[in-house]
Amino acid sequence: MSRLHVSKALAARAVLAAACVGVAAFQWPSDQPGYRTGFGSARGGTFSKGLELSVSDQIVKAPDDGDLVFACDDGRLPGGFPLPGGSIVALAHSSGLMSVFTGLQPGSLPRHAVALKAGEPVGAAPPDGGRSVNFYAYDALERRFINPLSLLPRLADNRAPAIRSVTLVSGSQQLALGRDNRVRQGEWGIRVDAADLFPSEGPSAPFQLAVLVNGSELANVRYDAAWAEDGALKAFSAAPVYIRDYILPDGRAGFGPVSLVRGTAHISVVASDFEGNVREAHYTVQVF
Amino acid sequence: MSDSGRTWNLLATVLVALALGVYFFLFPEPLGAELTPLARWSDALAPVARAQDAPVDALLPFSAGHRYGYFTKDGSWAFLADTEAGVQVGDQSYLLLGAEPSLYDAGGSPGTDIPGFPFFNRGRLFSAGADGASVSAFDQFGTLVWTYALPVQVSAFASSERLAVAGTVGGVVQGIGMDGRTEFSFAPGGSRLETILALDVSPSGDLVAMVCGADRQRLVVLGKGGSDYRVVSHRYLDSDYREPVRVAFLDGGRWVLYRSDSGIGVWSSDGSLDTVLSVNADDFSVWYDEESSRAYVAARLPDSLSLVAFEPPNRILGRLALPPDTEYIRMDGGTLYFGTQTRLSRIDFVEE
Repeated sequence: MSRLHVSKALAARAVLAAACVGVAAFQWPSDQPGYRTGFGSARGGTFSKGLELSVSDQIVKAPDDGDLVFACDDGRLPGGFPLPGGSIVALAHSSGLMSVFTGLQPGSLPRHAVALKAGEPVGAAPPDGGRSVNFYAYDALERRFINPLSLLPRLADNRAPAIRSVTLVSGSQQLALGRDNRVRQGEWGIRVDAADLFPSEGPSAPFQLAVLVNGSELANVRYDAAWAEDGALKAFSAAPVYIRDYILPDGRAGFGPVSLVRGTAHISVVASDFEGNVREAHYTVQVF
Repeated sequence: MSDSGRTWNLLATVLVALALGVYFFLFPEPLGAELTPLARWSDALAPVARAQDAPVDALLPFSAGHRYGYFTKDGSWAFLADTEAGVQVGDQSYLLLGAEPSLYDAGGSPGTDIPGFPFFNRGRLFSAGADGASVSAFDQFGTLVWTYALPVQVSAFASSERLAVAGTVGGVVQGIGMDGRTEFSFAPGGSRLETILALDVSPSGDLVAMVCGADRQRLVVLGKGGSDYRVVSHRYLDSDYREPVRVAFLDGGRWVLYRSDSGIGVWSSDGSLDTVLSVNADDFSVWYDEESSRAYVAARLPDSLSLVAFEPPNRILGRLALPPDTEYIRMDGGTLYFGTQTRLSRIDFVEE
């Protein structure tokens, strides 16, 4: 590895470490901080790798000093590949992180710039009801998307995520926990519909989701990063999973399978948001 | 001037003339045959409904703005229709875009829904993911063959019959085989800023060309050696583009054409020749006519469009200015078809 790459790798780790102790590496890319849906949100059965910004009709700004490495608002690349939302801008920052914006208004991109200072315009967002503007944070050295919330100044939030449903699934059989919690013994998958409804304007993924069965941790995922491995998308640094196995077509998160034996089983789901607000749901299941 | 001065001037002139004569006798270079553009037809366009006796063979695809269809070399139409949804037209089938894109074959069979954001590349059907960081491949009937996740958003894409390549804003190129498996992963590096600005694949899939990086920018050619792809040639460029540019193989992969500020750069894939085709272009398309060994490049600038015939690597045979509002352009051998939503014309290039 070259000296340049070593120093960039160290810089990227320093930025991420600083972000972990509450020092923002990026500034919000708009005057009115906020987002519609967050990292990990399941949109159309796909895993969102960035934030859908809440920036209608606003100027979108560089989140940090950076070099413009790529900008295009022609709708398609040569060869026909369609651009998401019709445009893309990518900035490379000295830390080794990249910020990527999609969906900005054609004609508003800084096509003739080679470098931008933090806060300088990257482009204009469409009016309300137009295309969505998405913001991605990419660690170019580790080749992974980072949850942008871990790099941005925190937004005030004292509301816990919602756990909307927990369902046991075996083949075509589904049992929504909460009422008649009686199931046959055997292998069951656990489907969780949890959403963080604030400060995002729409339902977003929680930052952390844990499932416990009879006191033992079945899974504990932190929505911190996502990356491609041999053409397949994986996520969650500490306990990586293939997203195709995790996000179901209806947007719920899938865990398990877990073996339930005759007697009483205790199932708990714990959802936390980025500010540490926690929601817990506990169920007792009679297994026969 | 003195008499001796006049004598020296006369002697010098005679010597130069003699030297030129000897040069042309010893090193003759045949001149290309005169290439003449012959206008064959030019028709005003209006929608044509698909008829029972419509031609079905040797159809050429057409699209300009909201108008699309298929025509024959003599200007007959299988059909010509309008759509508000947007359209992508391939050789065998076409896509009506919009909220739920559908695939139709040129013969007019019922449509098949294609998820995502579909597009044609070199006759193959692909679809981009909503975030631009994944791509799916479909067969000719619209059946999903594979889906491939990229490390970050795609900034360049190309394909051949058996290889698809995707470059990313983060500076990585992924080669994807027919079955959706990774053929190779390549990060060119060599620049302060890493990104991929252009890609092309040779028809055989054995060569991949790219323009990559910034500060400094590079042209890199990969070649398949055994089961892997390795750098077979590269050169640093004077350019500092921060936007997609064009790179294109020519003559089966022998030459690589790339955008440059001083004309269209021509690089031999093996790195043995580096020259310039004297054609200014912000973007270009290139075709090669194997029968005549001639190439044609359509060169676009903000206010002009021209077609240039040349012998590779850079011997220009002729230029033809086309209307700047031309939306459709296609070469078929030595025949040019070009037009707008309202007119289509054919010109043949013939040797005289």
